[in-house]
Amino acid sequence: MLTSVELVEFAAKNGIPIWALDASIALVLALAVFSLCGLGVIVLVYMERKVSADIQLRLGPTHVGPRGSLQLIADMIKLLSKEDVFPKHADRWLFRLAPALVFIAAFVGLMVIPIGPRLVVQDLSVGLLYVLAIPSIAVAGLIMAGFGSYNKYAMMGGLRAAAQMVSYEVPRALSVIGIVMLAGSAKLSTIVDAQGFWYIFLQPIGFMVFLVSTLAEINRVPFDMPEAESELVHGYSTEYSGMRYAFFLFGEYIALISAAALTVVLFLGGWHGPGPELLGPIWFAIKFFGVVFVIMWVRWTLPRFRIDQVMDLGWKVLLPLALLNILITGIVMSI
Amino acid sequence: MNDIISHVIFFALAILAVSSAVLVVTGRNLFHAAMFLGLYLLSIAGYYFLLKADLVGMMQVFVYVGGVVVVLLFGIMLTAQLTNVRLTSALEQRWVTIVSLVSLVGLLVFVAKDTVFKVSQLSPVEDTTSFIGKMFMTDYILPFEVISVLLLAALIGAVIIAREEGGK
Repeated sequence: MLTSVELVEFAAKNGIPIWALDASIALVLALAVFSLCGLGVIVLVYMERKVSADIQLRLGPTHVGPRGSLQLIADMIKLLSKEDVFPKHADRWLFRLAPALVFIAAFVGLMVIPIGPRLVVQDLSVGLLYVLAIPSIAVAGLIMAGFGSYNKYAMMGGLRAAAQMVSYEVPRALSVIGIVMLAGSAKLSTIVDAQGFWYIFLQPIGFMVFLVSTLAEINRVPFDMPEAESELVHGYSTEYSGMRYAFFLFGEYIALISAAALTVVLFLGGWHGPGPELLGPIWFAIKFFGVVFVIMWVRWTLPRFRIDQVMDLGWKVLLPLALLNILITGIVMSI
Repeated sequence: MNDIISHVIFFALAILAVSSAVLVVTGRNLFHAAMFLGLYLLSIAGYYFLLKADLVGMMQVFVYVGGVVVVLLFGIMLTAQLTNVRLTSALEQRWVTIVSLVSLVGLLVFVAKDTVFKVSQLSPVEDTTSFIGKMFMTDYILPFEVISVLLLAALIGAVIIAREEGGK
C-alpha cells in the first residue's frame, strides 16, 4: 500500500481533502477484504464438504451445480428466506447483537495480515498482538449469545466457549513469543521478511503449541466443546436460525481463514517462495490452503475431547511447553 | 487538517465512553452493565490508539476486555439467582450523597481551572513496543520486578485457594 507521505502529496496535488481520501481508501479496502472473505468462505465450505466426504468414503454434495459446487448458494438462499425467530424470554438486544459481534471480531482480525510484499491493509507495529487480542472480543459475543438466548444448552455452550477461549489464549500468546524474539519485532511483515529459514523448523515446539491452541481458539473439532451437538444440542447457537445463524457460521469460517493465514505468516514464511516477488500472493494461497486442509483433516479424523480433558491439555501440557520453548529460544539466542 | 479528524474522533470517543460509563452505573440488569463496562474499556483503548500508544491500547483490549470483562460475565452467569433479575438502585442516603457529590465536583472544577496542562513538543515514539521493553529492562527494572513478584504471588495464591476448594 501507499505510504502516508505519498498519500498526503497526492491529496495536496489534486485538491482532495485528506479526510475524504482517508475515508474512501478505508471503505474500498474494507469492501475488498470483505469480498475476498466471502469468496474464501464459499471455497472453504465447499472444500470442507468434499474433504469430509472423502475421508468418510462419501461423495458429498453432487446435485446443485457442477459437482455440487453451488450447494452453498442454495443453503444461503434457504437461510436468508427463513423466518426471524426470537425465543420467548430472550434478551432481545443481546440476542440481536451477538452474531454481529462475533462476525466483526473475526473480520477485523484480517486487517493486519500481509498476503504479499506491501499487500496489507494496515501494517501495525503491534500487528501480532492485535491478531491475538481481537478474538477475545469474540468471546464476549459468544457469552452474549449464550446468555441472551435464555436456554440452558445455549448458556452452557457460552460458558464453555468463554472458558476454553480464555485459557487457550495464554499458551497461544506465549507460543509466538519465541518468534518475536527471533525476528526482533511484532510487526507481521518484518516477521515474514526475517524468515529466510522458515520458523516451523526453528520453532518446532512453538509451532505445535500454536497449532493446537489455534484449533481450540477457533472452536474446531476436536475442541468444539462450545457446540458439542451430542451433549449440548448446538451450544451457544441453539436458538438461532436464519440470517443470524448464517452470521455465526460466516464468523466461524472467517476465524478459520484468519487463523490459517496467521499460521502461514508466522511459521511458513508468508509470501516467500521461488520465483519473482509478484508470485508472492500465489505462494501465500498455496500454503494457506495446505494449512486449511490440515485443520480439516484433523477435524474429520479425531473424536471430540471432554471438557475437563481440554482444560487439562491447555493448562498442564501446552502452557509448560510454551514456557519451555521461550526458555530454549532464549538460551540458544544468547549462546 | 489532521487536527480536525483527531478532534472528531476524540469527541466521538468521549461521548461513547461517558454514555457507556453512565449506563454501567444506572443499568438495572447486571449482565448489561458488564457489557457496557466492556464498551467503556474499548473506548478507552481507542484513546490510546489516538495518542499513538498502540502497545498500551492493545494491552487494554487484551487484559481488560478479554480478561476482566469475560471473568465478570462468568461470575454473573454462574450466580444463577442474579441472572435476569432487575436490580433496584434506589437512593437511600440522599443528603450524604448530595453533599459529597457537590464537594467532589467543586474540587474537580477548582483543580481543572488552576492546572496548567503541560504539552510535550516531542513527536511520539515510532516503535513503542521496543522502547517500552528497553525502558522496563533499564530505567524501570525495580518496579517491573516488584510487579512480577506480586503477580507471581497472586498466581500461587489463586492456585492454593482453588486446591482447598477441590480437596473438600
